Amino acid sequence: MRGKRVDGASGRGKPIEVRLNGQPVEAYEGETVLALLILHGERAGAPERGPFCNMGVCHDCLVTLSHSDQAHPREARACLTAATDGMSVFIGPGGRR
Amino acid sequence: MTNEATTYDAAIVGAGPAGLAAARELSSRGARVVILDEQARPGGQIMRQRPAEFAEDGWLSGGLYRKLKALLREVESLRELDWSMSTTVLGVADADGDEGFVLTAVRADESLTFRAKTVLCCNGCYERPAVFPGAVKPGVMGAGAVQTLLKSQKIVAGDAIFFAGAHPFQLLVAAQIAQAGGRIAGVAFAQSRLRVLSILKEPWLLVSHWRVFATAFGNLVRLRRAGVPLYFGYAMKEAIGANRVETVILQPVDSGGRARTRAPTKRVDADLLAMSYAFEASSELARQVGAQSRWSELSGGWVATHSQLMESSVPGLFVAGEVTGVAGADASLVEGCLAGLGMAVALGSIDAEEAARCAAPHRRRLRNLLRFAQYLARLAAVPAQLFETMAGASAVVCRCEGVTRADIAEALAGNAQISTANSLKLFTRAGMGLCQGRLCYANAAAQMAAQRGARVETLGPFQAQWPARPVSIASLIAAGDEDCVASRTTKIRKPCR
Repeated sequence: MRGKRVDGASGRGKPIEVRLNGQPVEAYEGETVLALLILHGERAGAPERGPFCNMGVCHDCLVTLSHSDQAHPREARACLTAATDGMSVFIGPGGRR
Repeated sequence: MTNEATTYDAAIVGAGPAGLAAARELSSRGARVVILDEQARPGGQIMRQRPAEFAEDGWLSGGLYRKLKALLREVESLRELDWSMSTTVLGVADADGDEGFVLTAVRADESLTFRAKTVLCCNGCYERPAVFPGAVKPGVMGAGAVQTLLKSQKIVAGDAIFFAGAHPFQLLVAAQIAQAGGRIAGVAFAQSRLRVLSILKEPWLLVSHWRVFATAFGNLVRLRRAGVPLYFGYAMKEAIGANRVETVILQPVDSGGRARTRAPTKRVDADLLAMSYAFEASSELARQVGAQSRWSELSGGWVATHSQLMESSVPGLFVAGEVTGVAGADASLVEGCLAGLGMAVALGSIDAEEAARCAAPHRRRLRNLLRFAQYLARLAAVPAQLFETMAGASAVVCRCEGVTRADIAEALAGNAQISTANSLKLFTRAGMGLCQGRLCYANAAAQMAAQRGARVETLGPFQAQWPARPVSIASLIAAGDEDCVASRTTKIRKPCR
């Protein structure tokens, strides 16, 4: 873990099921995928980069997302994407280009 | 969903203070308005809202935000506005044969098209990263990123956070993190303590902007009380760590930003380095349409030029907020009011005389705010040699493509024909990556200017092209009209001044 949730789970949405590289992680409705990456010490994007801007500019938080109700996985900037129940987030090779 | 059938009176790109103020002005005059923004909720970076699922308790408390929040809530409650949030605008182009503009955009992976008689580009600014060894390592973020993670996601993004920069903004973020229970490993300013305190030499500013200073002073006191080490006259030398930042090394610098080689460096352990050296105006969307820009060293690089009522050099295309020069949220709000009036004139809903009358108080207030912003910009200005001092030869300039200082130096030395920032991009790939040169332009151009003995303004910006953000081919094809995509691509390319 890196950093922390202020006030823990309180004031957040309902707990949801999200997998990060196949592993279930603690997550709440409204949290962005980037927040989960940070809390779980994952860096996304290219191997030697971490997210820089949290506002959609740097693209160093690109992840691949799949969801049971979607036909194809899609790439997205983690900072602009809300985690949703049942989402799987993949980073590392294949997560970027 | 596409809104191709509707022609809006105004499309506003950016739901920050400028966009909200313009929307209020236009809406009150009966205009049909759509606001587009990449974020899920309006407010801009200054008022990055919590997600709807979170409780709002204590969100942006404090007097500095009061007026902005009032504007946000008022505009959110306007029923006649259309919102297109979580929407990335890819381009703005003249509508062929028709009056007005066509905006192309994506939401999730869905292509969208909007038509509007007038467009306001008020898409803000972003942080300029500094170049130093280790600056692209995981665990180095912009101070703004650390702040938005706190205010919007209620997350303290590191266990021990070190701030390094030249902008007073980092004090605010550090204080907010400390208040939220995060540990601040230290705050380093490149300027001397005396320079930071030189604010006291301008008493009129203290009076007119007392609230800002009271907040800054309060932040300093709070950090001091919390035992946070403050460093003045220190720049980043290196961020080191195996896989991510573990330790930051600070270099003492003089008032010109040159290394004081005999003074000892300092090492501080931290797992997150937040940097705050400067901001860059996000003028690329306006420039893509052909809006003229000028170089402003202290206010964010290439900034869009405009008339008194914020119309750019392209008739019907308006600009407001940080896009016209980084000057803060209050100035952005006022510019948004002016842009709203200018757009109302362009739409024929008011005449020029009435607009001038309504604009007068805004213009007075803007003059005052811009004077303060200029003063703050001078205070926060990065000392002349600082970026040069921090950058080692192996340091990465272009994060996306991994182009180093040495790569750029070599390309420039080997080819005298490279005379513009664009040609440097073609030869080195700096600026060709996913961020499309937003994060490397200032550093690459500064290095080139130094090596060529030229001024940055003679090198020009990176050309702003469609799409303004990377987009998947699939989502464009899914729009079902490949010819349309092709024609947009060619139509939008215009000489960029």
